[in-house]
Amino acid sequence: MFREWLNALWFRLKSLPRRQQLEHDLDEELEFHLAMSQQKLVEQGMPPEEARYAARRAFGNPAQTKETARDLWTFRFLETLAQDLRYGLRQLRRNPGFTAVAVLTLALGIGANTAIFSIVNGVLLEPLPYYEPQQIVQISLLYRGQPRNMNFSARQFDFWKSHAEPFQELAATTEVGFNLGGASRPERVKALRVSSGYFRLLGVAPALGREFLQEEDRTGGPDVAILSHVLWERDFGANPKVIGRSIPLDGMPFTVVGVMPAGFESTSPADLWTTIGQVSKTIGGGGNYTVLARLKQNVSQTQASSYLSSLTRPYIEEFDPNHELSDKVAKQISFAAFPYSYIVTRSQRVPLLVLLGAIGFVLLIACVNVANLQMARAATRNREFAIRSAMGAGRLRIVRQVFTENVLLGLLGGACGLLLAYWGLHSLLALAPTDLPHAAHIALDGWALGFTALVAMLSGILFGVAPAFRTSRMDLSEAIKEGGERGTSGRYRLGSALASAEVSLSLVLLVGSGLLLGTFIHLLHINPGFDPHNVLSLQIWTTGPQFKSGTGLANLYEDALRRIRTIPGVQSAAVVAAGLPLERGGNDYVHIAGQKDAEGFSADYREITPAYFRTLGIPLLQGRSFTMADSADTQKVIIVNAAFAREHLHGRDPIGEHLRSGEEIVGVVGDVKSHLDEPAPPTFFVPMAQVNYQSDQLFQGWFPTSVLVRTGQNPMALTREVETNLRKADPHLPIGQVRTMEEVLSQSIAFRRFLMTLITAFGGFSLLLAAVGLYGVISYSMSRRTHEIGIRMALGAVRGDVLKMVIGQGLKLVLIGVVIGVAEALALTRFLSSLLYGVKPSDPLTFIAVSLILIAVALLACYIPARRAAKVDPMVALRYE
Amino acid sequence: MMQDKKERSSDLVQGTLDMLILRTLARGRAHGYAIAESIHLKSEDVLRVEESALYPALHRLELRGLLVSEWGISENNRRAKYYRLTAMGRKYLEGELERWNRMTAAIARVMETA
Repeated sequence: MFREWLNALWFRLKSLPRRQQLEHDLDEELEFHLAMSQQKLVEQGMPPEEARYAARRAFGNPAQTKETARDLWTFRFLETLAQDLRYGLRQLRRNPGFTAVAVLTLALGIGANTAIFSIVNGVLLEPLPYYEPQQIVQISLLYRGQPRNMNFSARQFDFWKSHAEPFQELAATTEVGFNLGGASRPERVKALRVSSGYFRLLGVAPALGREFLQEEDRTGGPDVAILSHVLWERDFGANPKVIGRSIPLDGMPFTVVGVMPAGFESTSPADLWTTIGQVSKTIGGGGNYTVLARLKQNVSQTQASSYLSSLTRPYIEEFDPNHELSDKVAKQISFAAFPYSYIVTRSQRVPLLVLLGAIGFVLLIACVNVANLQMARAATRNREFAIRSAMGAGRLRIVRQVFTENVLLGLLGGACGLLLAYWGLHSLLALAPTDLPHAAHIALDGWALGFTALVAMLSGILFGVAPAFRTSRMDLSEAIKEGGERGTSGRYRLGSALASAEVSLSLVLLVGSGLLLGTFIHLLHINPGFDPHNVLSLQIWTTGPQFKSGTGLANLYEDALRRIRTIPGVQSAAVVAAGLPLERGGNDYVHIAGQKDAEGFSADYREITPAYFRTLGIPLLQGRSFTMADSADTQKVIIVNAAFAREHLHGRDPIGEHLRSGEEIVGVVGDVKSHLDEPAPPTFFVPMAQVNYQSDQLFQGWFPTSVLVRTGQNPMALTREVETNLRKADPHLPIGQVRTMEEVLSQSIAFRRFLMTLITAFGGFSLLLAAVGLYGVISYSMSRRTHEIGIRMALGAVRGDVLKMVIGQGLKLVLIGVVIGVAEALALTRFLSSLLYGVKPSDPLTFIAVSLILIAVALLACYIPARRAAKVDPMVALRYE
Repeated sequence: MMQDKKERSSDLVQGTLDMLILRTLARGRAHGYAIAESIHLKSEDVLRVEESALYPALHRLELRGLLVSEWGISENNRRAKYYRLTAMGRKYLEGELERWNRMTAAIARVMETA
């Protein structure tokens, strides 16, 4: 049996390319047979002509023989497939409207979803590029059950090291920066101080040289550094002899001991790594370490967390011996182990999840639309199915053809979707905020593509094939007689229901984007507390021992500022350290003098030159600003902002108050926001000449110092001149980002804007799809009712009445969709509340506006079929079946 | 296969025709017309092959590898397609013959008078 099957296969394969020859042979074979028959009859006495006819009659119809033979020369499966594909293509070409809309819908659904999912996946879900990254955790704490980022001092790191049961490795890291000298231009590099086990913990070994040794962890240990691959290539020409070389960081010599492999990224972005040995005698008791750990093989994260939680009490006993922490608060704290990736992206988790929800919606809408289109079309194909069935096509044959056609459609849509996904991903990444984590690794996700393609195609196929099934069971003569355009009303209702569903889903998306748009507009109009127009900012760093003291720094800055003020067009200039407005900045712990039982508190901290407030247009509310008279030898003074006075001075006049450390408050200025959607934090300002040099250097490790220049107009035009003058003051000064304050303002809301753009794009798509869906349903239903319309018109209805009827029907569908959509939106928008500002999740204005837009679009979609219906000639309609 | 159209299931008819064709070709190669004539002759005019069924049967047998075909010159100098048995065909024929004998014996037993 198997041999026979094999032979058959071989025979068919052999025959495939030889069809013409085989056809010819067959004809000849049959001709031979007839000739022989004829000859025999002639020998028996029949006249030749008669014999010929007799022979043919006896033989019967050669057509059947030829059919059977032809069947053996090929694979039937391939034949029917080719046939179906040709037929399918023809059908699709003959209905360009349907085809275009279906392909577009599929492409949008598949493409948009794949692009977004790839981004979300890359940012949130993609595992870190380390060895067994799921075993890497960060030690932090839960406060009232919510995870909080927690940093530790060196001593506290030691505590964890001595209680490390569940872990095979622990490491501490802290971010820092250096001025890298020795190259053609002084350069600012981001660095990470790490303990000796760090690279081992991540499971990545240096490509050249070695890791840090344990003895390098201790205070006063050797100054050693490991370079990143990029830095090595860029500044050291990828020279392997770099190991052992000395490089100047902040003016101090560091020895290079290793180079990391290409593509390696540490847990915070860094161009080089150095040891934790130097960090100890600094503000805060030496620390600000992020503590990471690798779980032992058979230990789970929950086990580790419960172990750490049990250490909460002993930890508090050891590090809070004076019980400054109240018991109530202590009870709400517990330590835990968090998967490292969770902490990294926490701030962007919610919006990205919202996006995921949105793309789910869009996919749903796309599927619904395709289904709708299929069903509308199916009704017009009843006749075709009936005729084919009557001509002998089996049910399976018809279904198979429809299936092939739909797969073809799906493939077309999928191919377009792939293109759209690729293009979409790149456009989105170009628009994305620059601090999107892992942005470099984001690529089109194959799984996402496969998944969405499958879902979209399946729905198309399902809704395309189902009607074919139903028809083939129907009474054929019925279908042919009635012109096949009147099916059961059940299918029509389903189409309407789907259209309403689409409208409701679109409404939800549009409400979401409307709320975000409202938020964005509110944010744009918030007064940031200063005047951002026409101010240039340049980042500089003055770290290193060469300045030696606060006075040295102040002198340098004044020298530079003096030069800058001579540039025509400059109105004022200043320097600020430890943070710009609208960006993260330094903070410090202070105590107000004279309040015996009051606790100390944390307040934002800035170091400034005297012209700062004037340059940024921050109003002076009380007292005075700093002057050149405030120097290292005079009374230490500070200026506070209104929030500081409000929250901590309780209505007393701030001027004349002192801090416990002796500084006198001499002025109060207006509040300046650090985040547009949060109230300004209490802030105090210190004149540059009076800063504690150590703390300035510490803060500069985390925050750039900025030179601010207010100009008459177009600040960017003066960039080169300002830079030149800065270099004249200090040729070794690295200059970082140069931006206008307006750009800074706009960057602070970049992520929100990105999100808003995305969701609005989705809203737009879904609106388009819903409109198309409505159009489809209405036209289809009107085409079926042509007969009815004809009767109405013959009985006296005018164009207007018909228009009203059609639009009325459409309006009904839309209103149902809107009502459902509003209910859905009300239920779902509360998940957006953490992203909103100035708008409630149930903002009535947004809801009403969106509903009106939807209704307007829907009416437009109904208008075309309405006009068509109204133009019907009653005579034609009555005759039309 | 009989001129008489009222026959048993087409399956049986088909299988029987195949068997007769193979048996005919066991005696040597032949073209389609010759096969039909041979069956007619050998059965002493009882069996006449329905011509429209002959060639489909031949082609199907060739597909299955029980026969092979080649072009040759007939007795009256015309080009004709000749068929002959393959080894596999021979084995198949033996099996079919055995089956046929068993079946006819069984039918005979059932139909026995007394």
